[in-house]
Amino acid sequence: MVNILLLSGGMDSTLIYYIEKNIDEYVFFNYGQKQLKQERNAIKKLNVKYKEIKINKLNYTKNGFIQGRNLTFLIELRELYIDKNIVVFIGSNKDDVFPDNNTKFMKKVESILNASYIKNIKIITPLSNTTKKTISKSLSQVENVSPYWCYSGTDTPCGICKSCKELKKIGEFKKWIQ
Amino acid sequence: MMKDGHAEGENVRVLLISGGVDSLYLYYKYQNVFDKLIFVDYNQPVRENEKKVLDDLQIDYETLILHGLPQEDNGYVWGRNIEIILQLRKLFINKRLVIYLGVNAEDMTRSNTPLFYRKVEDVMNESYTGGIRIVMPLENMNKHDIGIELKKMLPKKITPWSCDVPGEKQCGNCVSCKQGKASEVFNIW
Repeated sequence: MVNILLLSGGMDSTLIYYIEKNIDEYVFFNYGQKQLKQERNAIKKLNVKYKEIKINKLNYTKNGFIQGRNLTFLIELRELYIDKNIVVFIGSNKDDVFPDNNTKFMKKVESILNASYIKNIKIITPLSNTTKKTISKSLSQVENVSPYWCYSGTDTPCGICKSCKELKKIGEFKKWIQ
Repeated sequence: MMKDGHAEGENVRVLLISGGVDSLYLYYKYQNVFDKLIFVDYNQPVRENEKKVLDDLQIDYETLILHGLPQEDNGYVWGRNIEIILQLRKLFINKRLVIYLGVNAEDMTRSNTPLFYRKVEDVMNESYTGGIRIVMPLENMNKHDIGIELKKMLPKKITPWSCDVPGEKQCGNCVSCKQGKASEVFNIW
């Protein structure tokens, strides 16, 4: 069995990195995102050996939703570790609003993949009952950590994208850019 | 390579057609419904036999190529059905996609049941905009009844291909042939 953590450089997966101690493999997806460089930099600061997997560019909708992202990641992981039972840790949190980023969705994908492939997959969302505010506060207690969450791809988070606005709304934006 | 060719938001009705009993029945029963007839080439050993049936019937189909999927000795292809739906979803991105499948009441493979496809429909709709429906008109029909009905519509000289082993004739011994015998569809032709 292989325990895999899906890293994005964002707050959720970075916090899981510090919480979960039994991870065997760290994986990062390059799907043509604007913020690729910044996400890579955030992960490099963790000083962890990770695999970067390049896939075809994914489509964005106007509200920042990335079509097929989590489903594609999970199928890619299933096929990458085709002959192994795998446990995938994903950073979905209590405040996530996109329909493909909650425990119910993950359970359905788990069931579909287990019906489709011989080896098993288990998808774990350790932060599904944790709010973004709590995640941000917990992570800010770790030294020298600098997650990247902004959709704009600017080195300093833009403050106007959906992700920045959500952090502002919960009063957790300023402390990360100082 | 297959192309989309439809405007955003437009309905695209696709029949997955294989040259077997179920999908041929759907083709004849609902012939004017479909915008696209798609044959999936997943490197199955009998793809030429399957295509010959469609060619003999002069059916105008397009081919979705899906190579590289791991196959077991018994012919089971890992991840085939979820990959097919995913590729179609990506190909017709932002379209209202309706996929017709020839799943029947006797299909037992875990990744080829109505319950499986309903979950797939759910996760596709939660992952992509545009909307997708997976329609299985034969889910309550047994194989024998489908065979009897198809026989009435199919030209007499044509035999659907339902065997796992390539060759001039269907072997009668493989898993698919044995299932065909068990459901009494084998002897219709």
